[in-house]
Amino acid sequence: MGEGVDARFNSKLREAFGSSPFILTKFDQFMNWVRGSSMFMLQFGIACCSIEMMHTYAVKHDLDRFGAGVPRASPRQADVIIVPGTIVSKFAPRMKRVYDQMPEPKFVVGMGSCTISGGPFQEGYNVIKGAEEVIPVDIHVPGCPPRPEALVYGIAKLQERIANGETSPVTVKPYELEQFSELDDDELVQHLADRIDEEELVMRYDWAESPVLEALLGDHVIGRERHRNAEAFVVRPDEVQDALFLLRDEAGFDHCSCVTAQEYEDRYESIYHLRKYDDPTQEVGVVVPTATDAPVSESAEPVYRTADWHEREAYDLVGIDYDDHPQLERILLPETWQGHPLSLDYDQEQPQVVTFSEHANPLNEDQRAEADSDTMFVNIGPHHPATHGVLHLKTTLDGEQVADVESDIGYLHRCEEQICQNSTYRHQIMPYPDRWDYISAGILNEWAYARAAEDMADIDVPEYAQVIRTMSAELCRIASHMLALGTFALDVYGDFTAIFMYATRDREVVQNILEDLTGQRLMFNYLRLGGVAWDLPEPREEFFESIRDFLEDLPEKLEEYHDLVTSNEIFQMRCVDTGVLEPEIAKSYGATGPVARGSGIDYDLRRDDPYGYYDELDWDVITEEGCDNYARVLVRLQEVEESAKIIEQCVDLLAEWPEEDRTIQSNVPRTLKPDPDTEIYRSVEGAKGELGIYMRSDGTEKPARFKIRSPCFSNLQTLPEMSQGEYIPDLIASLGSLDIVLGEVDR
Amino acid sequence: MSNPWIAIGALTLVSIIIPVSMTVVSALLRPSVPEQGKTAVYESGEVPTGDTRIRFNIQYYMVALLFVVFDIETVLIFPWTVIYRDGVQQFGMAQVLVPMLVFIGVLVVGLAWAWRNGAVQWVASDRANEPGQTAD
Ligand code: SF4
Repeated sequence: MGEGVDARFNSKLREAFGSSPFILTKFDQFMNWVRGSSMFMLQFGIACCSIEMMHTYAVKHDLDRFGAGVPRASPRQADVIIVPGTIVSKFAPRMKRVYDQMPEPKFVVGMGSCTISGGPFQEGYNVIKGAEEVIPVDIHVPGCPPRPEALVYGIAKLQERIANGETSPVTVKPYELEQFSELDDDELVQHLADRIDEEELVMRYDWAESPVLEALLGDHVIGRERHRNAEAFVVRPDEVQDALFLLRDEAGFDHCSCVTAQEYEDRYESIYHLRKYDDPTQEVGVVVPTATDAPVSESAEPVYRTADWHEREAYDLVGIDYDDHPQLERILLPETWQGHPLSLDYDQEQPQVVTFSEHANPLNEDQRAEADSDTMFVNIGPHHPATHGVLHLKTTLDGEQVADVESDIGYLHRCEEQICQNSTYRHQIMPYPDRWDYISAGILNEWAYARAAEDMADIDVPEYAQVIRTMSAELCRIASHMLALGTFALDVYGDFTAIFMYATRDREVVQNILEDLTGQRLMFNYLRLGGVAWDLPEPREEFFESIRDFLEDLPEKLEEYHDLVTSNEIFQMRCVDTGVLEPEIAKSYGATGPVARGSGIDYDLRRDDPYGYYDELDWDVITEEGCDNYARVLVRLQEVEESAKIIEQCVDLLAEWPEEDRTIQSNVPRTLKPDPDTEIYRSVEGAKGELGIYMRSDGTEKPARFKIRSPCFSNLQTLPEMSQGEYIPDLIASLGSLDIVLGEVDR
Repeated sequence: MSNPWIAIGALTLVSIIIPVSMTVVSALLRPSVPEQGKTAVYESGEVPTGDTRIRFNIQYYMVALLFVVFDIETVLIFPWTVIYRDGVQQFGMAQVLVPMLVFIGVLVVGLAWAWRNGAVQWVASDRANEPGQTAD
């Protein structure tokens, strides 16, 4: 082997020439120059960092200038893999597989602190502490996320190293394929389920005086609780369905926004947060306590279809069993996981094993004999450009048709809830919401937490800060919808098209404005409890001017999008009347946001459950009656216009705000300790829909339970309804039109 | 006039040499790290379920057949266009144009027939529309 040249480049030719291939030196230099100057990147996105990675590929930063641009969707055609994001247990073997399938020599760029050490999620029970645990990394680009410039620099450094023939050593770690039998654990739970002690449960609750709902629920109610947002009724674990049916059909609570499960010292509890689509301020909670030694309660799935996934999550993370549930399996964690991480006695140190094996075709046996042709089971994802992240669709195809589709999630389950539970209300939680819906929707998410925490601890927000919040949140919404449009065009047209580049171009403008305001392009961390972090940047006029310029150009750009996208005949053929989601079905799945509004459901928390400065401003809620993929795109495009209206009014208000009234934060104590046993569920209209937070305090400065109601989680559940029996391309379009973010689905 | 088979032979030779030399050169130059995963089928990072030996839907054959028909059509039309002018001069319009028109006409009839029979349209199967059994 030659001087200074790594074993990684050792080829047959070198071996043939023995240990000192003098004549190969020049040739080596040439080969390394070639390798460095024409790098084929793998199109590989994991988490928030991949958004900045996309910006690095696209206009403005244009990685292609450095001979390393066009991303390839298949590992067989790529020799550089940028690992952008948090790696969790379930994803690690898949990532290893994709890496293995790249041809030699291959190079790895670790992007973001998550690939260095697990980053902000290092403490998570499910998070791999750095990419190096799985594959060898050549260059680490630190940052959370690194700016595109930093990534460009990292890649330039990699090219330099390749040109010099140095790389990190290859360690080949073959991933063992292991088969596991059924969990012994489950049998135990089953056994315990038979011994539930209901008498004891009833004892713990006092009967309260009965208003209308209680009269309606009658004997089902065994107690009352008062949550900050709503009254809650305690219901016997074996009468959940009856109670919920009554509430849904008689009292009109047709929206089950969330199911929170938690463990107390003496019991388990599932809380169903119900509200009405017509008037979301009408809320009620249904609390179902179960005994610690046998946590079994009746499933709500027959009443609200959305409870299916919510209860699976509760089973997975907390360990409550739901009777009558159609498919009570783990949803976020791998099947083989031992223990329930959010239960009290979970030991995070215990080793876990993750399997990596075939998935079964659900339609294989029953139809093989009669039909003329077989069904084919195809994995779409977790590494697939059309899944918008690390989602796995177990698809069974009958020819060109989708006979069955099931989403398999959890490839980005970063333990957000656990981490928030281990952080203090006052400062430590706020950075995390940015990383739920990481498509630049940070401030919208921060607001969800801010709203819940402020209502919980009775903190006022100065009006001036509310206007700033409203303005910045709507800027985030525009950025988020732009990406939704760009990636949807990518799904439908099938390549990095002009539309994607246009959308990135406009996002860059928004991101620059937000960077001026907050100091970050993506993870803003700008809201504080009781206000915002700091005032608008000086000189204010210049800042306002930049926003006004953007708003002025926007109508023309939207016109352009309509020309490119919505009025394009091919686009219409792909989207009109495909992925139909009837409003009734959408409601039973708890769909919200543009997905619900595209099905004609007039539901927008900004108007219906007002917060911030929205009710003082003049804007409209957009709905479309089409119920199809096209309607959802139209809703998003029009919402951008509405957001622009809101921003414009906010800018005018802020420009005229008297200088002495510019209070950006109210007085908030240094440590927040809400009263013990305060419970609250509060939600805001995030970019994708109703983003809610449930919190319970135990009198300390950290929440005892922190539950995130993610709009994408509920929206994604509608996918089988939209695509079963449809063609494959329609499945892809439907998935794209849902605009999911895996960071928020998996949390 | 030299033997036209020489040109064809040369073409054959080149078409063999190019791929073979590409394979050989890259085999010499590339480092080899044999790994279990590398030889496996790539399916979005998952382990593929089942193999490719399944009974494909009959409708794919119709598409394939139509494709072959029109592929061959192109193969025949290209040389014809190259010699068209010379041909007209030598044999006259009728001799050169009419057979090709007849040929295309036959194909068009075939296409129209296939179209009418719905061969270019996917016939939805009952099984996919109402899955007897879903995953749960
Ligand atoms: S948290 Fe997100 S942005 Fe930060 S390093 Fe990890 S993947 Fe990147």
